[in-house]
Amino acid sequence: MRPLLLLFVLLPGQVTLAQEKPLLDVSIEAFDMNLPTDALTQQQEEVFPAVRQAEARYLPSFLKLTLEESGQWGAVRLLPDTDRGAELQISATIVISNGTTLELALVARDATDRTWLDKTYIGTAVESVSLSQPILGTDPFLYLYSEISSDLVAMYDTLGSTQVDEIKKVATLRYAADLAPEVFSPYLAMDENGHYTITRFPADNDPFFQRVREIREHEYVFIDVVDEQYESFFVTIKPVYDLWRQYRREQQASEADKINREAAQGNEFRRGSYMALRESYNNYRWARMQDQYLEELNEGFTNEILPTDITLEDSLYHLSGTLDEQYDEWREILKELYLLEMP
Amino acid sequence: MCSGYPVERLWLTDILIKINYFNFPANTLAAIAGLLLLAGCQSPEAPRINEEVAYEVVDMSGNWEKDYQLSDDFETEFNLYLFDVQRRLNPQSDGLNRNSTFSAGPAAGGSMESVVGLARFTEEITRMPVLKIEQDRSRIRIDREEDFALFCEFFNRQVAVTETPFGAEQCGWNGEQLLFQLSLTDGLQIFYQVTLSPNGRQLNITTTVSSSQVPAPITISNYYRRYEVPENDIDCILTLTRNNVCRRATDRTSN
Repeated sequence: MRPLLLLFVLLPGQVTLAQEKPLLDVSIEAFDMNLPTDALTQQQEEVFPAVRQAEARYLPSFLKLTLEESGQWGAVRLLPDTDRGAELQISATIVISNGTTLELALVARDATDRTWLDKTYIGTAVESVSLSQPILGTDPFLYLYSEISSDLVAMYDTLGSTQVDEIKKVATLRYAADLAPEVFSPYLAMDENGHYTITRFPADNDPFFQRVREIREHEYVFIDVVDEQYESFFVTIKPVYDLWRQYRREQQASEADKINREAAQGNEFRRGSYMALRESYNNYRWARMQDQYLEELNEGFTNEILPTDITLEDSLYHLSGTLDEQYDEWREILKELYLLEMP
Repeated sequence: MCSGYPVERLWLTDILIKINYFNFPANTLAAIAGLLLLAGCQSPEAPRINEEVAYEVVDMSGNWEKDYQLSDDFETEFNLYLFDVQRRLNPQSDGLNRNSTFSAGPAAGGSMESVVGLARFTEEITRMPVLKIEQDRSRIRIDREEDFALFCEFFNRQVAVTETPFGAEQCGWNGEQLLFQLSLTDGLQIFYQVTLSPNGRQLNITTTVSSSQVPAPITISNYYRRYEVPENDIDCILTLTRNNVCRRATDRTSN
């Protein structure tokens, strides 16, 4: 049973009367790293694989927190892969993330496959100096996440209760159809716009449908475990990642400063003199040492995100590998469970 | 002779320098150098990084300390260098008159200040008393004290290029020799040739430094021998949130 929001919800900087319609659950998929395949391109584009790998989890974690803070949504879940039973699915590709600029190509679709957002969000870092702000208030790209949140809410506001209800039902049926296509596919159809519609809906006491719901609950068990992992990762990595981004910004700014200063001043030393050679070498040395310090930081990131084994409470299943692999494995197990226990 | 062990190929600079102790005339030296080059050696002034190396690279990893006995004595090299510059600026001179004054000015392609400046600068960057080299199948990192590490990621054995606003660096393998070429601002070029001796006990780093303001490059050859760092029983990895996380190596093996 989904709770109806019938009270005033405090949003940062505003007071809004929540609408009397069901809240949608949101599933956010870990972001696409958009990692250049060859190391040379990575180097040229200044993409650091270890950091990007961390960002693919960190950035959606922050979006999740932003959406939760808004109070406009039901459960907001972060998953390693697409949620086949998502009511509202958010996916994004990291186009640029270098500390100074963040560019995300974001797509949000509801269960009927209606596109809510297909937009590129780009912004530059805004430094925050307040120490008293909550965790959300300290991100230099907070305003970008707030913009995404506002766009989603704007779209949600255009929908009536019936439409929201339909989205929720389609989500359940799509999950069921994924689990047992031969049983549940006939419940769904496509309209002329390529959106899912419901042809009929199973009875509440339909044993097949009840079983699907149970399986879905099992999946939530795993998602909760994953969610804890993501949250723990987010909390652990945030101070470090903030530092890394700050360092990158300072590095980029000081490089630009140095170039400008030299262009303005010219080389004070006579060309070819010892001092001119030292100046030339020291500039290069400085740039290389900065790069190498960054490499060491990257190494630190890699060590933070080593995959962790997860053992479920009942000890029946031992999932290991990366979260994506664990999620795939778990879904396979659930599918087998469904097939085994059905009459 | 140079098609054999890389260590021999590298030693061309040394051979010429050692020969020069016998005070051969400059043209004789040039002829010897020409013969050596014809025999397949590469000039220390114009080595080339191979675009592709089809075979395994040598393993240079380890801790290295400078062998001062074998390494170039800078004072001697500086004198030879002045001799070379003088010869280039005054081709008519046999270059052996050490008492002749160095008269090149900027118009002639260099000044005493630039020549001495280049030599002084070279002496500084070639000190490198100890090195720590880490290497795997696709990368090598040469850590030097108080300087940036020479780092090369040889993707498919191809030349790797690193660019910064203050200069560019190319690195790669020329046979079994590792080369770094730094092209910096103000016409400064630094070329490192790193070669391991056939028995793996010695390492040579030949550094050639040139400036657009000076007519001849200066080359310094340094030798290194391995040294053992006391065995550390503790393994540490760097993590960002917990800094270095260390544990006893024995614990790790028992896990």
